[in-house]
Amino acid sequence: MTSPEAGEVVIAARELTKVYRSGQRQARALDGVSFEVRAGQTLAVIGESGSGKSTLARLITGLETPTSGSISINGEPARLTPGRASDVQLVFQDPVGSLNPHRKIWKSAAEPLHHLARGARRATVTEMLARVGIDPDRLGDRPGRFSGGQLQRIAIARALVARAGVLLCDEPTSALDVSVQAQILNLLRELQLEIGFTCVFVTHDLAVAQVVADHVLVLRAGQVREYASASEFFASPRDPYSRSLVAVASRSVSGGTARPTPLN
Amino acid sequence: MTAALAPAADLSSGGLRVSGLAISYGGTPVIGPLSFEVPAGASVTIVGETGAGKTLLLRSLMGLLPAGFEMIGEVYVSDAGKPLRTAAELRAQLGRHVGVVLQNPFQAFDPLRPVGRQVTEGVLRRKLIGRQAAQERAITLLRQMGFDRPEEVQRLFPGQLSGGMAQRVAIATAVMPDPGVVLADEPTSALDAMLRVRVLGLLREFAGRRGAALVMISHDLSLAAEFSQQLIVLYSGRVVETGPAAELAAIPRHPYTRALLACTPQVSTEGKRELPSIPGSVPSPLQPRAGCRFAARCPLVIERCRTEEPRLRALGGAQVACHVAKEDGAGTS
Repeated sequence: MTSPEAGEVVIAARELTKVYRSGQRQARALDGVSFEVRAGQTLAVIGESGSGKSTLARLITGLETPTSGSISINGEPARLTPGRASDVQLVFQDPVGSLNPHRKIWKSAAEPLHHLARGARRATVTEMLARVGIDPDRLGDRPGRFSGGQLQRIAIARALVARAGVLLCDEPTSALDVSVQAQILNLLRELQLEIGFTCVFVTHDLAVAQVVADHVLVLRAGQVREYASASEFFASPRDPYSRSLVAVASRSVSGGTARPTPLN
Repeated sequence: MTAALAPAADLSSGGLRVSGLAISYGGTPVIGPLSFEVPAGASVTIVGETGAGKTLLLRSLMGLLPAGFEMIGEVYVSDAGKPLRTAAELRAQLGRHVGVVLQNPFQAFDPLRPVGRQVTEGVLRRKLIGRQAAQERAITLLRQMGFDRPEEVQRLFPGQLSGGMAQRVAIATAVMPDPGVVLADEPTSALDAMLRVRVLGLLREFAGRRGAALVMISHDLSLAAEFSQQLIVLYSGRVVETGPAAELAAIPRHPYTRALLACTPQVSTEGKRELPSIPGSVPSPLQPRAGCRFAARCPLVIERCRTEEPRLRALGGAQVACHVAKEDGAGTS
């Protein structure tokens, strides 16, 4: 695959719809979702539980196919090709669950490089793990010996080691402490500037979305409530639901406003 | 080092007092000592990151410390009417004078039984009220938790509830015995942003209506500052700052409190950006260390910080364990 030029459309979703059926029942998880993400940019997908965020993530990765509509990565339908590392790599919410506890971390991080010889694999992984801040002396350690933040760094290294063009981050910091969250968000920002990957960042936290996003897609019950540039969205959200989300997230840190309700 | 939030309050109408609470493991001091009071209807939140010792501290108040940990000190639960000094005495208050809300609401329920029976089970088993009264109280509480049709919710199994519904039912269950103290362990960390605000509002409403003392733990300092009157900031088992929530949020004086607030993203006029962060990681409370435990990560560190553990001292309306912190929050030596 040739790398897209800056500003070219990398991810394109057109009227994306996904319906799950079970017997007579059906659930419309996504309904007519359209958006684009350009090279080197980040789209934040915002929504509460049940909004369709995870379904959209599965469609982008090619783990599922749409019921109707289309999703393409660099002009080709999003799908998994057996034996080839996908151009869309994932960073999950739970860094503990996303790495095999019995494998040395360098081997887990080297999974997308299985086509390379062992020596080349190890060298490439060592470089990437060092870049994300993992001590090269610890490559032989297993996940149990690392903190949550360190494991998320390893997961990011694994996702980027094969130079994937698209990084899909599914709530990658919601299980982390705020100081570790800041470290991970800053790391993703630095790596995106260096490597130039295109990013879809799924989150329910608007403040986090604002830190990472060029564009914002707000989902509710499978439908797009707002799709806008991040600056427009945070300055003046147009949809009533978006406005309520921004209002809740913009609560000032005034402290002590929690006066108890008077006794009945 | 003792964290005292305020002069001794009158707890005759309810509330909680913790005096000289310290936790050790194999003789190594892990947490505290700390003291605090939560008057009836008020709340205190213990704030800190992973490894601060928040959960251990809350578990000590429940009398449920893991094997190997020991606690000294005294807990006075107003409704119990006597000082509680042992784990067994503290455990005896659970489900009676002390209600507990867990981080993961689904852990609070048996997945194979309708939640309605589980809401009333505790008070019936302890014979605190009769079956009819328990059912009526459950309906009232579920309605207060925002369920328009509580009878329908009672018939659902835990797996049929969303995270927000489950946490609201779990709160109703915790407050069924009308406890004078509610201990909540990160009650909103598994919830979406809007649900967080709603659930904390419900807990606050219960505390206000009942005159209960609410002790929460949280890793989100800004959210805690909004929903509590008092904050205790823990770092590696030590109280580094404590005081009125409004004051701590407005003038964080300890460098750690300040850094924690700074690296919490807020919706602002700035767009895509780099966040301030704290380099390194929290040392384990079990790891012996001379001096201030934050020294290795502190931007204001001086030599004294590495050798002498700072004691809490009054700065404004707060107490701060820092050699260099100043009353105006400037914090230069």
